[in-house]
Amino acid sequence: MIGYLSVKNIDGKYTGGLLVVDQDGIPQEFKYSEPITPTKLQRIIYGKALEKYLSIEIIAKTLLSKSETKPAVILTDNVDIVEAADNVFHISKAAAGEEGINKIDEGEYMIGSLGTFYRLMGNSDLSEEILNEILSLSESIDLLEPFQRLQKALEYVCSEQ
Amino acid sequence: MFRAVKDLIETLKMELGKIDIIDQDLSILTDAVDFEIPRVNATIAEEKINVDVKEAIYSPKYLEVITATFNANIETHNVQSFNMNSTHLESIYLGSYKEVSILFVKPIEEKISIKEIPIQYKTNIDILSLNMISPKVHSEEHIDEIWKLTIKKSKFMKKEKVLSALEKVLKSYKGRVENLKFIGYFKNVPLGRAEKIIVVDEDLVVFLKRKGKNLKADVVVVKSPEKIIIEVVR
Repeated sequence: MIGYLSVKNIDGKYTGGLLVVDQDGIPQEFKYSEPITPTKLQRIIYGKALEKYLSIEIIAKTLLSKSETKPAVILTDNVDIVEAADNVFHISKAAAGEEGINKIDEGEYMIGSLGTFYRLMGNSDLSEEILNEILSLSESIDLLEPFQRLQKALEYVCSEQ
Repeated sequence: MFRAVKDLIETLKMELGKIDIIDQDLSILTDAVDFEIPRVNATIAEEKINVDVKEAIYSPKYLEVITATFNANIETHNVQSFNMNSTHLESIYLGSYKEVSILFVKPIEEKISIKEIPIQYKTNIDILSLNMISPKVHSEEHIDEIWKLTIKKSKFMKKEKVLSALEKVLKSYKGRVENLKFIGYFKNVPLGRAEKIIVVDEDLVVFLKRKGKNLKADVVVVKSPEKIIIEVVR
């Protein structure tokens, strides 16, 4: 299982979601946080650090602590959230690369599958088992596709508030 | 004074000549002088009082000495001075200039009690907390968006297998072949969990069932005016 963690600012409301999928992209667990609207005073005091603080400390870490399936690796589309835990990795598409798994640096990998290439970046190294699991998922679905589901789900949550 | 009297008598004797001069022992006069000794109307009391002094309170008006047996309330203006330390009253000098009283009292054995009264300050300053409260976390499966799996068409395909699948589509289609449109080849479509499949911008969107069979397959998708035709590639 692979987790997808995303935190969004939708119309000034901060909310986050954790979607855990199996090797076919089927949801195994979904958790989301109630939207938070910072006060004016909080915006002033936290300044530029507000978004990072909310994303990592308040939302991401809370969601990870509440996870029941505890996936071995969590992928995120927000590079700041990598700081939330050692098993959180930022994923993005790369223009070019090689098929398979390639280690670039410590905690940094390139994964290529069927002509689509991804770049993974985190604070620690991944085991071969986890890397193969990611590669296997990339052969079934677009690795960034679950973020689209999370985005739509979080938009829905915010619209309901 | 005696000398002056003697000189006066001698002078009178010379002037009058008739006066008998009698030598007189003037020492008697000395005995006769009445010296009035000024008496100081003062009493001195040196009485030791063997009583416990419970409390001694000095105020601008009174010096109040409280013992187990009596309670002396002395007007302060009669008190010339007194000596008192934190534990006992040593002496009090009372009265006018003519009367002096000295009281010796036993040391106060009991310690002076100090009462503490807590003072609470009530302020009108509001304390604002900036701590962000951890958000509530929900896990609701009814949010349909997470159950819509979007699959992009594969860039790579095995031509023979795809053509074979397309041939089956063409054979089974009863309408005009010109109306058919090839959408693409899709890998690992979870057919066992599919509730509904639609095509959006040439992507395959699979509406997943909460439960189902673990069946997945590679498919070709062809769009006709009436429906979407999905043929499994074997």
